[in-house]
Amino acid sequence: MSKMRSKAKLGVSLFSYSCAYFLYRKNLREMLESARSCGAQGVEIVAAQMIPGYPYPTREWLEEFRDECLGLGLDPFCYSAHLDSGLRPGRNMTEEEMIRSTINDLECAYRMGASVVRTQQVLSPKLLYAMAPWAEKYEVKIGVEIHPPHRFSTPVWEEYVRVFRDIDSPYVGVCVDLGIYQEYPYDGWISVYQKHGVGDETVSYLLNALGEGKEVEQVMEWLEAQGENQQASLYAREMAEEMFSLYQPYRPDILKDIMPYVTHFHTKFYQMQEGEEKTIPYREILGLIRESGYEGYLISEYEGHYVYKEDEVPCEDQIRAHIQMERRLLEAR
Amino acid sequence: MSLVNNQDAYVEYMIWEGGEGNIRIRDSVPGFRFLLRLPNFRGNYLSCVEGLEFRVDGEPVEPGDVQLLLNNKKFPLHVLPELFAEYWDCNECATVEILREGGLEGEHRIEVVMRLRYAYSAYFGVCKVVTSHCMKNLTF
Repeated sequence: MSKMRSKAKLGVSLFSYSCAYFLYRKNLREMLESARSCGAQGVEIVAAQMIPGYPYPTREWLEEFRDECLGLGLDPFCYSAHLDSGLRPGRNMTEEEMIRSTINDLECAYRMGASVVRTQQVLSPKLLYAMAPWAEKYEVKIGVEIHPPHRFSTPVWEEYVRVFRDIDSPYVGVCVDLGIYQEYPYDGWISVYQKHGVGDETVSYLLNALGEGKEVEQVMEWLEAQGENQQASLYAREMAEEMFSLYQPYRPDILKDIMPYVTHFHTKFYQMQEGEEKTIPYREILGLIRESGYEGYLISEYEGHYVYKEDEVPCEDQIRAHIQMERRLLEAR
Repeated sequence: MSLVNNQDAYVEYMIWEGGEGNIRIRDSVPGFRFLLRLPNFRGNYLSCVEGLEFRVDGEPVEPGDVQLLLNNKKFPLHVLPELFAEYWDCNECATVEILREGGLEGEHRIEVVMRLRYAYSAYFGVCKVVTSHCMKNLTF
Protein backbone atom coordinates (compact mmCIF):
# COMPACT_ATOMS: atom_id res chain seq x y z
CA MET A 1 0.00 0.00 0.00
CA SER A 2 1.25 3.42 -0.93
CA LYS A 3 2.10 5.82 1.86
CA MET A 4 2.56 8.60 -0.67
CA ARG A 5 0.30 11.60 -0.50
CA SER A 6 -2.22 11.42 -3.33
CA LYS A 7 -1.25 13.46 -6.39
CA ALA A 8 -4.84 13.73 -7.60
CA LYS A 9 -5.88 17.25 -8.56
CA LEU A 10 -9.14 18.81 -7.41
CA GLY A 11 -11.45 20.78 -9.63
CA VAL A 12 -15.04 21.95 -9.95
CA SER A 13 -17.57 21.62 -12.71
CA LEU A 14 -19.26 24.99 -13.12
CA PHE A 15 -22.44 22.91 -13.47
CA SER A 16 -22.28 22.83 -9.67
CA TYR A 17 -23.33 26.49 -9.74
CA SER A 18 -26.29 25.86 -12.05
CA CYS A 19 -28.95 27.33 -9.82
CA ALA A 20 -26.98 30.47 -8.95
CA TYR A 21 -26.29 30.92 -12.66
CA PHE A 22 -29.92 30.27 -13.68
CA LEU A 23 -31.14 32.83 -11.15
CA TYR A 24 -28.58 35.38 -12.45
CA ARG A 25 -26.87 35.48 -9.06
CA LYS A 26 -23.42 34.49 -10.28
CA ASN A 27 -21.89 35.27 -13.65
CA LEU A 28 -19.07 33.30 -15.17
CA ARG A 29 -16.35 35.39 -13.58
CA GLU A 30 -17.96 35.06 -10.15
CA MET A 31 -18.27 31.29 -10.52
CA LEU A 32 -14.59 31.01 -11.45
CA GLU A 33 -13.58 33.16 -8.47
CA SER A 34 -15.74 31.07 -6.20
CA ALA A 35 -14.30 27.80 -7.54
CA ARG A 36 -10.81 29.11 -6.89
CA SER A 37 -11.70 30.20 -3.37
CA CYS A 38 -13.18 26.75 -2.66
CA GLY A 39 -9.85 25.19 -3.54
CA ALA A 40 -10.27 24.18 -7.19
CA GLN A 41 -7.16 23.90 -9.35
CA GLY A 42 -9.15 23.46 -12.54
CA VAL A 43 -12.67 23.76 -13.92
CA GLU A 44 -15.01 22.00 -16.28
CA ILE A 45 -17.63 23.96 -18.19
CA VAL A 46 -20.83 22.50 -19.65
CA ALA A 47 -20.92 24.03 -23.10
CA ALA A 48 -24.67 23.62 -23.65
CA GLN A 49 -25.25 25.50 -20.44
CA MET A 50 -22.76 28.34 -20.18
CA ILE A 51 -21.01 28.96 -23.48
CA PRO A 52 -22.70 31.74 -25.48
CA GLY A 53 -23.29 30.90 -29.12
CA TYR A 54 -23.36 27.18 -28.41
CA PRO A 55 -22.86 24.91 -30.31
CA TYR A 56 -20.66 27.21 -32.41
CA PRO A 57 -19.12 29.71 -29.99
CA THR A 58 -16.65 32.24 -31.32
CA ARG A 59 -12.96 31.69 -31.12
CA GLU A 60 -12.69 35.03 -29.28
CA TRP A 61 -15.04 33.92 -26.53
CA LEU A 62 -13.22 30.63 -26.03
CA GLU A 63 -9.84 32.33 -25.88
CA GLU A 64 -11.12 34.94 -23.45
CA PHE A 65 -12.49 32.22 -21.22
CA ARG A 66 -9.13 30.46 -21.30
CA ASP A 67 -7.33 33.68 -20.38
CA GLU A 68 -9.79 34.45 -17.61
CA CYS A 69 -9.20 31.01 -16.07
CA LEU A 70 -5.44 31.24 -16.37
CA GLY A 71 -5.49 34.75 -14.91
CA LEU A 72 -7.17 33.36 -11.80
CA GLY A 73 -4.71 30.48 -11.58
CA LEU A 74 -7.29 27.97 -12.82
CA ASP A 75 -6.76 25.27 -15.41
CA PRO A 76 -9.61 25.38 -18.03
CA PHE A 77 -9.44 21.62 -17.83
CA CYS A 78 -12.53 20.24 -19.52
CA TYR A 79 -15.02 21.24 -22.20
CA SER A 80 -18.09 19.25 -21.28
CA ALA A 81 -20.01 18.29 -24.40
CA HIS A 82 -23.51 16.92 -24.74
CA LEU A 83 -23.95 14.71 -27.72
CA ASP A 84 -27.51 15.68 -28.61
CA SER A 85 -28.12 12.71 -30.87
CA GLY A 86 -31.90 13.10 -30.50
CA LEU A 87 -32.16 16.77 -31.39
CA ARG A 88 -34.39 16.04 -34.36
CA PRO A 89 -37.78 14.47 -33.80
CA GLY A 90 -38.15 11.14 -35.54
CA ARG A 91 -34.54 10.16 -36.02
CA ASN A 92 -31.22 10.04 -34.24
CA MET A 93 -28.04 11.62 -35.54
CA THR A 94 -26.22 9.58 -38.12
CA GLU A 95 -22.72 8.37 -37.33
CA GLU A 96 -21.34 11.05 -39.62
CA GLU A 97 -23.26 13.75 -37.73
CA MET A 98 -21.97 12.45 -34.39
CA ILE A 99 -18.41 12.50 -35.67
CA ARG A 100 -18.83 16.08 -36.99
CA SER A 101 -20.38 17.19 -33.71
CA THR A 102 -17.51 15.69 -31.70
CA ILE A 103 -14.87 17.23 -33.96
CA ASN A 104 -16.55 20.58 -33.27
CA ASP A 105 -16.30 19.84 -29.53
CA LEU A 106 -12.59 19.06 -29.89
CA GLU A 107 -12.06 22.30 -31.81
CA CYS A 108 -13.81 24.33 -29.09
CA ALA A 109 -11.86 22.56 -26.34
CA TYR A 110 -8.62 23.24 -28.15
CA ARG A 111 -9.47 26.95 -28.46
CA MET A 112 -10.26 27.28 -24.77
CA GLY A 113 -7.10 25.50 -23.70
CA ALA A 114 -8.88 22.43 -22.33
CA SER A 115 -7.14 19.07 -22.09
CA VAL A 116 -10.31 16.99 -22.25
CA VAL A 117 -13.68 16.84 -23.97
CA ARG A 118 -16.22 15.05 -21.85
CA THR A 119 -18.59 13.34 -24.25
CA GLN A 120 -21.43 10.95 -23.67
CA GLN A 121 -22.13 7.31 -24.08
CA VAL A 122 -24.24 7.85 -27.20
CA LEU A 123 -20.88 8.10 -28.98
CA SER A 124 -20.56 4.40 -29.61
CA PRO A 125 -17.38 2.38 -29.00
CA LYS A 126 -17.07 1.90 -32.76
CA LEU A 127 -16.97 5.66 -33.36
CA LEU A 128 -14.00 6.02 -31.02
CA TYR A 129 -11.85 4.54 -33.79
CA ALA A 130 -12.92 7.45 -36.01
CA MET A 131 -12.42 10.01 -33.25
CA ALA A 132 -9.01 8.94 -31.95
CA PRO A 133 -6.98 10.49 -34.82
CA TRP A 134 -8.86 13.79 -34.34
CA ALA A 135 -8.22 13.78 -30.59
CA GLU A 136 -4.54 13.16 -31.26
CA LYS A 137 -4.46 15.95 -33.85
CA TYR A 138 -5.91 18.49 -31.40
CA GLU A 139 -4.02 16.95 -28.47
CA VAL A 140 -7.30 16.96 -26.56
CA LYS A 141 -8.51 13.79 -24.86
CA ILE A 142 -11.98 12.39 -25.40
CA GLY A 143 -13.47 11.10 -22.17
CA VAL A 144 -16.69 9.14 -22.68
CA GLU A 145 -18.65 9.60 -19.51
CA ILE A 146 -19.97 6.51 -17.81
CA HIS A 147 -23.13 7.76 -16.15
CA PRO A 148 -26.17 6.13 -14.58
CA PRO A 149 -28.18 4.18 -15.64
CA HIS A 150 -25.07 2.57 -17.15
CA ARG A 151 -22.46 0.77 -15.06
CA PHE A 152 -19.25 -1.00 -16.03
CA SER A 153 -21.28 -4.22 -16.10
CA THR A 154 -23.62 -2.81 -18.80
CA PRO A 155 -22.77 -4.71 -22.01
CA VAL A 156 -21.87 -1.61 -24.02
CA TRP A 157 -19.27 -0.72 -21.39
CA GLU A 158 -17.59 -4.07 -21.75
CA GLU A 159 -17.23 -3.08 -25.40
CA TYR A 160 -15.93 0.42 -24.53
CA VAL A 161 -13.25 -1.06 -22.29
CA ARG A 162 -12.23 -3.51 -25.02
CA VAL A 163 -11.95 -0.58 -27.46
CA PHE A 164 -9.96 1.60 -25.02
CA ARG A 165 -7.46 -1.23 -24.72
CA ASP A 166 -7.44 -1.83 -28.44
CA ILE A 167 -6.90 1.83 -29.39
CA ASP A 168 -4.58 2.25 -26.41
CA SER A 169 -4.16 5.99 -26.94
CA PRO A 170 -3.71 8.51 -24.12
CA TYR A 171 -6.31 10.56 -26.00
CA VAL A 172 -9.25 8.18 -25.66
CA GLY A 173 -10.68 7.08 -22.33
CA VAL A 174 -13.44 7.30 -19.78
CA CYS A 175 -14.78 10.02 -17.51
CA VAL A 176 -16.13 8.17 -14.48
CA ASP A 177 -19.20 9.73 -12.90
CA LEU A 178 -19.36 8.49 -9.33
CA GLY A 179 -23.14 8.42 -9.67
CA ILE A 180 -22.63 4.91 -11.06
CA TYR A 181 -21.78 3.85 -7.50
CA GLN A 182 -24.74 5.57 -5.88
CA GLU A 183 -26.42 3.21 -3.45
CA TYR A 184 -29.70 4.94 -2.76
CA PRO A 185 -31.53 8.16 -3.67
CA TYR A 186 -30.91 11.42 -1.87
CA ASP A 187 -33.62 12.98 0.27
CA GLY A 188 -34.45 15.73 -2.21
CA TRP A 189 -35.03 13.22 -5.02
CA ILE A 190 -37.44 11.31 -2.82
CA SER A 191 -39.26 14.50 -1.85
CA VAL A 192 -40.08 15.26 -5.51
CA TYR A 193 -42.08 12.02 -5.72
CA GLN A 194 -43.64 12.66 -2.33
CA LYS A 195 -44.81 15.99 -3.66
CA HIS A 196 -46.64 14.06 -6.37
CA GLY A 197 -48.48 11.97 -3.79
CA VAL A 198 -46.24 8.95 -3.19
CA GLY A 199 -46.90 8.01 0.44
CA ASP A 200 -44.41 7.50 3.28
CA GLU A 201 -45.19 3.78 3.52
CA THR A 202 -44.37 3.28 -0.16
CA VAL A 203 -41.15 5.28 0.16
CA SER A 204 -39.92 3.27 3.12
CA TYR A 205 -40.89 -0.02 1.41
CA LEU A 206 -38.92 0.98 -1.70
CA LEU A 207 -35.84 2.02 0.28
CA ASN A 208 -35.85 -1.22 2.25
CA ALA A 209 -36.40 -3.29 -0.90
CA LEU A 210 -33.47 -1.54 -2.58
CA GLY A 211 -31.20 -2.19 0.40
CA GLU A 212 -32.26 -5.84 0.53
CA GLY A 213 -31.52 -6.29 -3.17
CA LYS A 214 -35.11 -7.19 -4.12
CA GLU A 215 -35.92 -7.57 -7.81
CA VAL A 216 -37.86 -4.76 -9.46
CA GLU A 217 -40.60 -7.18 -10.60
CA GLN A 218 -41.26 -8.14 -6.99
CA VAL A 219 -41.46 -4.48 -6.04
CA MET A 220 -43.92 -3.76 -8.84
CA GLU A 221 -46.15 -6.59 -7.61
CA TRP A 222 -46.15 -5.09 -4.12
CA LEU A 223 -47.06 -1.68 -5.55
CA GLU A 224 -49.86 -3.26 -7.58
CA ALA A 225 -51.32 -4.79 -4.44
CA GLN A 226 -51.39 -1.49 -2.55
CA GLY A 227 -54.37 -0.12 -4.45
CA GLU A 228 -53.29 3.50 -4.04
CA ASN A 229 -55.26 5.94 -6.14
CA GLN A 230 -54.47 5.70 -9.82
CA GLN A 231 -52.44 8.91 -10.03
CA ALA A 232 -50.25 8.23 -6.96
CA SER A 233 -49.71 4.71 -8.21
CA LEU A 234 -48.34 5.93 -11.55
CA TYR A 235 -45.81 8.13 -9.75
CA ALA A 236 -44.90 5.31 -7.35
CA ARG A 237 -44.23 3.01 -10.30
CA GLU A 238 -42.04 5.60 -11.99
CA MET A 239 -40.18 6.15 -8.72
CA ALA A 240 -39.59 2.42 -8.33
CA GLU A 241 -38.43 2.01 -11.94
CA GLU A 242 -35.99 4.90 -11.61
CA MET A 243 -34.70 3.76 -8.23
CA PHE A 244 -34.03 0.21 -9.30
CA SER A 245 -32.33 1.27 -12.52
CA LEU A 246 -30.14 3.96 -10.93
CA TYR A 247 -29.12 2.65 -7.52
CA GLN A 248 -27.75 -0.54 -6.02
CA PRO A 249 -25.52 -1.55 -3.11
CA TYR A 250 -21.86 -0.89 -3.90
CA ARG A 251 -19.73 -3.70 -5.17
CA PRO A 252 -16.20 -3.27 -6.52
CA ASP A 253 -15.90 -3.50 -10.32
CA ILE A 254 -13.17 -3.17 -12.95
CA LEU A 255 -12.33 0.44 -12.11
CA LYS A 256 -8.98 -0.49 -10.57
CA ASP A 257 -7.91 -2.23 -13.79
CA ILE A 258 -8.84 0.59 -16.14
CA MET A 259 -7.37 3.53 -14.23
CA PRO A 260 -4.85 4.20 -17.06
CA TYR A 261 -7.82 5.03 -19.32
CA VAL A 262 -9.55 7.39 -16.89
CA THR A 263 -9.52 10.97 -18.24
CA HIS A 264 -11.06 12.27 -15.00
CA PHE A 265 -13.69 11.65 -12.37
CA HIS A 266 -16.96 13.47 -11.88
CA THR A 267 -17.18 13.34 -8.13
CA LYS A 268 -20.95 13.62 -7.99
CA PHE A 269 -22.72 14.74 -4.84
CA TYR A 270 -26.12 15.94 -3.71
CA GLN A 271 -25.99 17.07 -0.14
CA MET A 272 -23.02 17.41 2.17
CA GLN A 273 -24.11 16.43 5.67
CA GLU A 274 -21.61 16.43 8.54
CA GLY A 275 -18.81 16.66 6.00
CA GLU A 276 -19.99 13.67 3.99
CA GLU A 277 -22.04 12.70 0.93
CA LYS A 278 -23.85 9.67 2.21
CA THR A 279 -25.44 8.17 -0.90
CA ILE A 280 -22.13 7.32 -2.62
CA PRO A 281 -19.36 5.20 -1.02
CA TYR A 282 -16.71 7.93 -1.20
CA ARG A 283 -14.38 6.34 1.35
CA GLU A 284 -14.02 3.17 -0.75
CA ILE A 285 -13.74 4.90 -4.14
CA LEU A 286 -11.36 7.66 -3.09
CA GLY A 287 -9.31 5.05 -1.23
CA LEU A 288 -9.01 3.10 -4.48
CA ILE A 289 -8.06 6.27 -6.37
CA ARG A 290 -5.44 7.13 -3.75
CA GLU A 291 -3.90 3.67 -3.81
CA SER A 292 -3.80 3.60 -7.61
CA GLY A 293 -1.44 6.60 -7.71
CA TYR A 294 -3.90 8.49 -9.95
CA GLU A 295 -2.64 11.98 -10.77
CA GLY A 296 -5.59 13.33 -12.75
CA TYR A 297 -8.57 15.45 -11.75
CA LEU A 298 -11.46 14.81 -9.43
CA ILE A 299 -14.08 17.27 -10.63
CA SER A 300 -16.67 18.11 -7.97
CA GLU A 301 -20.12 17.90 -9.47
CA TYR A 302 -22.86 19.18 -7.19
CA GLU A 303 -26.26 18.04 -8.40
CA GLY A 304 -28.39 18.85 -5.36
CA HIS A 305 -29.39 22.07 -7.13
CA TYR A 306 -31.86 19.97 -9.11
CA VAL A 307 -34.01 20.01 -6.01
CA TYR A 308 -32.59 22.12 -3.18
CA LYS A 309 -33.23 25.84 -3.28
CA GLU A 310 -30.22 28.08 -3.59
CA ASP A 311 -31.52 30.28 -0.75
CA GLU A 312 -31.66 27.32 1.61
CA VAL A 313 -28.66 25.30 0.39
CA PRO A 314 -26.14 27.64 -1.24
CA CYS A 315 -24.11 25.76 -3.83
CA GLU A 316 -20.86 27.46 -2.86
CA ASP A 317 -21.04 26.04 0.69
CA GLN A 318 -21.70 22.61 -0.74
CA ILE A 319 -18.75 22.79 -3.12
CA ARG A 320 -16.38 23.98 -0.40
CA ALA A 321 -17.46 21.18 1.96
CA HIS A 322 -17.09 18.61 -0.80
CA ILE A 323 -13.55 19.63 -1.68
CA GLN A 324 -12.64 19.48 2.01
CA MET A 325 -14.06 15.95 2.19
CA GLU A 326 -12.09 14.87 -0.87
CA ARG A 327 -8.86 16.28 0.60
CA ARG A 328 -9.49 14.45 3.85
CA LEU A 329 -10.21 11.14 2.15
CA LEU A 330 -7.29 11.43 -0.25
CA GLU A 331 -4.92 12.07 2.60
CA ALA A 332 -6.32 9.33 4.85
CA ARG A 333 -4.16 6.32 5.60
CA MET B 1 -42.13 9.50 -20.85
CA SER B 2 -41.20 10.80 -17.41
CA LEU B 3 -44.02 12.13 -15.29
CA VAL B 4 -41.60 13.88 -12.98
CA ASN B 5 -38.94 16.45 -13.76
CA ASN B 6 -36.18 15.48 -11.37
CA GLN B 7 -34.79 18.99 -11.89
CA ASP B 8 -37.68 20.16 -9.76
CA ALA B 9 -35.98 23.34 -8.53
CA TYR B 10 -36.17 24.81 -12.05
CA VAL B 11 -39.84 24.07 -12.67
CA GLU B 12 -41.20 26.93 -10.57
CA TYR B 13 -39.29 29.42 -12.72
CA MET B 14 -40.80 28.31 -16.05
CA ILE B 15 -43.19 31.25 -15.79
CA TRP B 16 -40.66 34.01 -15.13
CA GLU B 17 -42.16 37.02 -13.44
CA GLY B 18 -41.54 40.56 -14.61
CA GLY B 19 -42.39 40.49 -18.31
CA GLU B 20 -46.16 40.05 -18.15
CA GLY B 21 -48.38 42.59 -19.85
CA ASN B 22 -50.77 43.23 -22.68
CA ILE B 23 -50.00 43.60 -26.37
CA ARG B 24 -51.16 47.01 -27.51
CA ILE B 25 -51.67 48.16 -31.07
CA ARG B 26 -52.90 51.78 -31.02
CA ASP B 27 -56.19 51.56 -29.10
CA SER B 28 -56.66 47.83 -29.38
CA VAL B 29 -55.35 45.04 -27.20
CA PRO B 30 -55.20 41.84 -29.25
CA GLY B 31 -53.58 39.71 -26.57
CA PHE B 32 -51.15 39.41 -23.70
CA ARG B 33 -47.65 38.21 -23.05
CA PHE B 34 -45.45 36.79 -20.34
CA LEU B 35 -41.95 35.32 -20.03
CA LEU B 36 -41.09 31.64 -20.23
CA ARG B 37 -37.91 29.80 -19.27
CA LEU B 38 -36.68 26.27 -19.74
CA PRO B 39 -37.17 24.08 -16.67
CA ASN B 40 -33.71 22.65 -17.15
CA PHE B 41 -30.14 23.41 -16.09
CA ARG B 42 -28.97 23.65 -19.71
CA GLY B 43 -30.18 25.18 -22.96
CA ASN B 44 -31.99 23.13 -25.57
CA TYR B 45 -32.84 23.15 -29.24
CA LEU B 46 -36.41 24.27 -29.90
CA SER B 47 -36.95 20.99 -31.78
CA CYS B 48 -36.68 19.26 -28.40
CA VAL B 49 -39.82 20.97 -27.09
CA GLU B 50 -42.29 18.18 -27.79
CA GLY B 51 -45.26 19.84 -26.18
CA LEU B 52 -46.16 23.27 -24.91
CA GLU B 53 -49.64 23.85 -23.54
CA PHE B 54 -51.11 26.84 -21.78
CA ARG B 55 -54.15 27.47 -19.63
CA VAL B 56 -55.55 30.78 -18.43
CA ASP B 57 -57.72 30.58 -15.32
CA GLY B 58 -58.07 26.85 -16.00
CA GLU B 59 -59.20 27.29 -19.64
CA PRO B 60 -56.96 25.72 -22.32
CA VAL B 61 -55.46 28.12 -24.87
CA GLU B 62 -55.75 27.19 -28.56
CA PRO B 63 -52.23 26.31 -29.80
CA GLY B 64 -52.84 28.42 -32.90
CA ASP B 65 -53.24 31.52 -30.70
CA VAL B 66 -49.72 31.19 -29.28
CA GLN B 67 -46.39 32.49 -30.55
CA LEU B 68 -42.96 32.14 -28.98
CA LEU B 69 -40.45 34.99 -29.30
CA LEU B 70 -36.83 33.98 -28.96
CA ASN B 71 -33.47 34.96 -30.46
CA ASN B 72 -35.17 38.00 -32.06
CA LYS B 73 -37.52 35.73 -33.99
CA LYS B 74 -41.15 34.76 -33.65
CA PHE B 75 -42.30 31.15 -33.91
CA PRO B 76 -45.80 29.67 -34.03
CA LEU B 77 -45.90 26.50 -31.91
CA HIS B 78 -46.42 24.09 -34.79
CA VAL B 79 -43.00 24.89 -36.28
CA LEU B 80 -41.02 24.04 -33.13
CA PRO B 81 -40.27 20.42 -34.16
CA GLU B 82 -38.47 21.77 -37.27
CA LEU B 83 -36.14 24.08 -35.34
CA PHE B 84 -33.17 21.81 -34.73
CA ALA B 85 -30.68 24.63 -35.27
CA GLU B 86 -32.46 27.19 -33.07
CA TYR B 87 -30.98 27.13 -29.60
CA TRP B 88 -32.79 28.28 -26.47
CA ASP B 89 -30.07 29.31 -24.05
CA CYS B 90 -30.87 28.35 -20.47
CA ASN B 91 -30.53 31.92 -19.23
CA GLU B 92 -32.66 33.37 -22.02
CA CYS B 93 -36.30 34.24 -21.36
CA ALA B 94 -38.62 33.54 -24.27
CA THR B 95 -41.71 35.70 -24.58
CA VAL B 96 -45.05 33.93 -25.01
CA GLU B 97 -47.64 35.95 -26.88
CA ILE B 98 -51.22 34.76 -26.69
CA LEU B 99 -54.00 36.22 -28.81
CA ARG B 100 -57.03 37.14 -26.72
CA GLU B 101 -59.14 40.14 -27.61
CA GLY B 102 -58.87 42.71 -24.84
CA GLY B 103 -55.89 40.97 -23.23
CA LEU B 104 -55.99 40.35 -19.49
CA GLU B 105 -56.63 42.80 -16.67
CA GLY B 106 -55.80 42.22 -13.03
CA GLU B 107 -54.67 38.91 -11.56
CA HIS B 108 -54.97 35.68 -13.55
CA ARG B 109 -53.80 32.13 -13.10
CA ILE B 110 -51.41 31.11 -15.86
CA GLU B 111 -50.40 27.49 -16.35
CA VAL B 112 -47.79 25.93 -18.60
CA VAL B 113 -47.07 22.29 -19.32
CA MET B 114 -43.88 21.56 -21.23
CA ARG B 115 -42.68 18.21 -22.51
CA LEU B 116 -38.98 18.44 -23.18
CA ARG B 117 -36.93 15.76 -24.90
CA TYR B 118 -33.46 15.30 -23.43
CA ALA B 119 -31.64 14.89 -26.74
CA TYR B 120 -28.52 13.40 -25.14
CA SER B 121 -30.29 10.77 -23.10
CA ALA B 122 -30.64 7.89 -25.56
CA TYR B 123 -28.58 5.61 -23.33
CA PHE B 124 -30.68 2.66 -24.34
CA GLY B 125 -31.69 3.98 -27.76
CA VAL B 126 -34.64 6.18 -26.75
CA CYS B 127 -34.52 9.74 -25.45
CA LYS B 128 -36.17 10.66 -22.18
CA VAL B 129 -39.08 13.11 -22.45
CA VAL B 130 -39.73 15.03 -19.25
CA THR B 131 -42.99 16.75 -18.30
CA SER B 132 -42.94 19.98 -16.29
CA HIS B 133 -45.96 21.85 -15.00
CA CYS B 134 -45.84 25.39 -13.63
CA MET B 135 -48.72 27.54 -12.42
CA LYS B 136 -48.53 31.16 -11.28
CA ASN B 137 -50.83 34.05 -10.60
CA LEU B 138 -49.69 37.01 -12.65
CA THR B 139 -51.00 40.53 -12.55
CA PHE B 140 -51.58 42.19 -15.93
